Amino acid sequence: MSIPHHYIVVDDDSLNNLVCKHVILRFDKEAQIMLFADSELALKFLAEQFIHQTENGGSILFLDINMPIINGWEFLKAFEGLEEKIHKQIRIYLLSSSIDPSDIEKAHENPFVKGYYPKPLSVQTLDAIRNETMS
Amino acid sequence: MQNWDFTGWRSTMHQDNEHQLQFSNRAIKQLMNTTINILHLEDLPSDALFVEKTLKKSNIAFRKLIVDTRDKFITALTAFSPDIILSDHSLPSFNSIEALKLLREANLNIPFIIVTAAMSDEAAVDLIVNGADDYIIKDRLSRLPVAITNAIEKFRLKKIHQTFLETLIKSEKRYRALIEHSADGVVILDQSGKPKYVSASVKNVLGYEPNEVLNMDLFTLMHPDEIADMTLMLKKILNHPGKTIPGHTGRMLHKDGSWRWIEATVTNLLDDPDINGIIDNFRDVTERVQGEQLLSESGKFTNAILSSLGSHICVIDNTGVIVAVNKAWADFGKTNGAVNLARTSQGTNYFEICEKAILAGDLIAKQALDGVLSVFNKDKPVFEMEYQCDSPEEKRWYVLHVMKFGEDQTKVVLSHQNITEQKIAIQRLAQSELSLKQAQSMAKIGSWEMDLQSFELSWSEQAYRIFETNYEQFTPTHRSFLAFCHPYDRVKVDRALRDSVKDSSIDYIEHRIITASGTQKTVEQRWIVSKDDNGLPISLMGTCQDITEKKALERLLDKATTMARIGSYEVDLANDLFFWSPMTKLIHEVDHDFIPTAKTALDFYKPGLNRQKVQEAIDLVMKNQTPFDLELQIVTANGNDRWVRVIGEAELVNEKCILYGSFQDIDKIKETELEVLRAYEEKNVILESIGDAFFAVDKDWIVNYWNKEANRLLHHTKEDVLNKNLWEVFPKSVGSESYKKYNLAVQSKQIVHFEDYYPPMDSWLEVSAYPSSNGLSVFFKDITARKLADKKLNDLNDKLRAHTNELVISNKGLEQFSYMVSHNLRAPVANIIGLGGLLKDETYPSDIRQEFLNGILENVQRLDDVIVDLNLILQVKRQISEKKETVNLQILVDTIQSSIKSLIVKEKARITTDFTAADEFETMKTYLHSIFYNLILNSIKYRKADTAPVIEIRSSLTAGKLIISFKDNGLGIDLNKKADQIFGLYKRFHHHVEGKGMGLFMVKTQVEMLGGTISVNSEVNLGTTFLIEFNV
Repeated sequence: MSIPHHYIVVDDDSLNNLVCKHVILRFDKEAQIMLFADSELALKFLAEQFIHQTENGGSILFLDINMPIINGWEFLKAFEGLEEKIHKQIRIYLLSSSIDPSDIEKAHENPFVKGYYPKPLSVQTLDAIRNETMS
Repeated sequence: MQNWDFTGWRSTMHQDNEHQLQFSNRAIKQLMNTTINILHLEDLPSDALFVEKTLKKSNIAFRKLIVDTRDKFITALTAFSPDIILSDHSLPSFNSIEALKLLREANLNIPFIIVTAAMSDEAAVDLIVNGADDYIIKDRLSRLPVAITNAIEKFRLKKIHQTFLETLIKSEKRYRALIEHSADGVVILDQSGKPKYVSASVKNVLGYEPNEVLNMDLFTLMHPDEIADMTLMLKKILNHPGKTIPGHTGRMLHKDGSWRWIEATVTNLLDDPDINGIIDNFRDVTERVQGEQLLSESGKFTNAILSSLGSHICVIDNTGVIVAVNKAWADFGKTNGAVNLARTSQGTNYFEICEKAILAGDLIAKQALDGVLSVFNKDKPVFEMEYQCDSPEEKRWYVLHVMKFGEDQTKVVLSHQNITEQKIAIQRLAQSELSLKQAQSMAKIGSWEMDLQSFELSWSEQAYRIFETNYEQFTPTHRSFLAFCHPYDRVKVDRALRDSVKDSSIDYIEHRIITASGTQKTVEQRWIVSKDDNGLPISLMGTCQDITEKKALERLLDKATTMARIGSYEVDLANDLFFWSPMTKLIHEVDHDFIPTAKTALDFYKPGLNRQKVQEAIDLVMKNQTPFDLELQIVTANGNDRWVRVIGEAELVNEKCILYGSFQDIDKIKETELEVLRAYEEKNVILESIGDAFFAVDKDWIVNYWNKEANRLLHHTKEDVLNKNLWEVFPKSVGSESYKKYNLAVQSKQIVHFEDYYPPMDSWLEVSAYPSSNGLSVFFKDITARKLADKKLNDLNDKLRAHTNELVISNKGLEQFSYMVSHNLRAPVANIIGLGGLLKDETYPSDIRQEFLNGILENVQRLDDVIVDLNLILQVKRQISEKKETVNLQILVDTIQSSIKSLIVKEKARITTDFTAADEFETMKTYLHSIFYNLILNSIKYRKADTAPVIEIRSSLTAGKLIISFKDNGLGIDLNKKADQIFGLYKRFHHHVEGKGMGLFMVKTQVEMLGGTISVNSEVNLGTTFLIEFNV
């Protein structure tokens, strides 16, 4: 499996998206980053973009939980409805301000969630994700 | 019929009757098939209907016309031409007598039947006399069809008969004329009486030659006594030309000098040009006349005898005409008013009378007629019948005797003999015999007689019955009778009978018998010895009475008294004579030959109270004959204590006072009574010693037991309540739980357990009510302490529940808080940390660093906002102590509108209100303000992009609830997805609008603080309606 260079951030908090963008770029100068403040748009993007690709595990998606209209959990539910081909290409990590253990527990129960990390996103987190992916 | 040989008609009368009968049957059949017209005179429609129904049931075909007035009746007689008339006896304006009269006057011959309600015999007779043919009682209508056919048939026969007679008369005249014109002497006279023609046969009659006669004055031949008559006769003849005057009889002188009786038939034919004379046809009837004279003389003699007889005698010919009656018959007819066969005078037709009576239902008349005809028909030489014919005053019996009238076969003699006296005598005898039989039968007494020569027995019917045998099966003799006796008694009975013959020392014995059917009986025989003139016994006459039942009763009584240990006694105190029955002795435990005296008898009573009581009672009864009934204790001869019941009455016999009565051993009864008493006491002890309170009432709620615990718990003493109605003692408890349950227990006959509060004692009672056939037993105990403990426990439970609820609520609050901390509070912090980390890196160009810095500042601001919100929320929860005031809803809305005026103008928002149902609300104003503000703002914020927002706010009152509705035309919310999140903190459903997702959270919190509820109804793009409900 190649090292992923595609990053998608889904969070209605634009400042968080700003932080994510710069932290990811510090970690991987070649990273291609998509920022979505609207979760609906993000889902639409996944459905349309990834249907033509087959780069398994090539993209990392950071998902916030607390969002209007479609929150993180609803996003995951909608993601489940997408084709398996898409599932294979995207590794989803929850990135939440919540440090509530019930949220963390719930996250671990979801098969699509590869990990749960508290905000803000840090280089260490990205490092850990890379190590995990490589091993 | 007209072709019949008329000479034979009399002798063929019988056949004629038969023919008529056959003819009548034919006629009835014909009648069945032809429709008859029935005119019914009746004013009651119901009765008319009954008659109609009855007729319809029969086979008679009929047309019926009902009339109820005289006029209608007369009209109907011609217009309807009835075959028969049925008539009610009396109508409001008309009656049957009048109707009959009308018929008679109109010379109409129509059968007439009275159909009427009950009617007296006299009235019935009257109607029959007046021409009615029959009468039917309305409640015996079933006879009507027969009566109708009979009546119609009778009329028809009568008509035939009449026609027949007329024909007959005509033919007989012809015959006479023929005879007279040929065989007998015939003379034709001229107008002056001079003979013009004399037939040769005249010589046969008078001895003269015809020529002699031609020159004779016929009057010279007549008997001088009869010349005057003859002259009158001649005149009559001359005055009646063409008419035949028959049968004139007179004496004329024969040529031989003797007077001959001549019968002449004379016809004046002077007007007949062929004859022009008077035809005198005559013959010698001397022998007949002399015979008649002789008969007349002997007849006189016979008549004298007949007249002196008591029997009513008559002679009738074979047509039924009464030819002769004796004096008794005639007298009876005159004096007797009742309908009677003998009430017929000479000349009337006996058969017709009989037939009329038969039609009226007289069975005796039928028998009599049959009898008379049987003699005529020579079936029997003599007919006899007995019949009852009561006069209004007395019962009478007659015997009818019918026999041939000598050699004359065309007549019979009838005699009705009054046999009332014999009859009564016979009846009396029979009655007394019957009475004796009945008496014997009732007393079960039979009688017998034994011949001492032959030892043959004769038994009465009842005697046979006692021995359960009968005359055919058993021949009683002394020996066979002894065989019936019980083997053990046989010798005794035989000896008793024999001894009585010897010396009359015995005339009574009781013994057992085994009857023919094997039953054992006890009989009592009593007899006397009958002796001849010499004093020698010839027979025994006796009675035998079945005393089995009496014996059985005696034994039963004996057994009963023995079983009940009842003895008797009798005392003649004046003479100190005591009689004790064996049982009395047995009770005293003395020998059977013990003879008590006043002293010894009294000494048996226990000294002290017992003896004193009996002494007093005896004194009283001797003095005033006051009866007594005492229960006392005696000490028996064997020294046993014993309870006895002594009953005594006294009677003054010859100024002496005789005391008698019964003496009963009641030791066992007494013992039982005492035992019951002891058991009762025992029960008392139990009921008093049980910890529970107890009382019992009878069926009328009268308290008959009340224990001490009941006294304590209900605070009423036994004396207060015993023998009183429970509900009169506790009037306030009527209708209480206890009252209902007691009644339930009594009605359902089921044990009822329950708890009830008793206000007067401020206590709780646990009650068990046991119904019984005698009433209700109630056990109860005080459970106040337990009840209090229960109540405390319940209170504690309630409190616990309240606390739990509070905890649950605050737990929810905590969850909400934790969520806020996790997301809303920590999110800006996380951003600040993230941005701060990036800012440390000084390699970023300054514009980017500036961007980071701004981000930090923005997030700091966000952090502060959240903290302020938090504070606000916590404050809401704390501010519940604010005072309530009346809030006018319209003013509230107006105030809010003016505070957001610029927004409303900008968004072109319109707010309409309708608070007519409820315009004021007592509440905490700031909260209500906040609720209204948030909801209005919410509606404006989430308006549809192309539509100006319209908000309708209205109030309504339903079932004690104030409902305020906020309806907008905004974006709406997809409730399927978001229903559970609408009122959550920081929940937003739209991106384009600023908002923290706190408004609806606050609204909900505040509504709940005010004790209300909020709900939402919304559809995407159709708007949203919030409903807030407050308890008023």
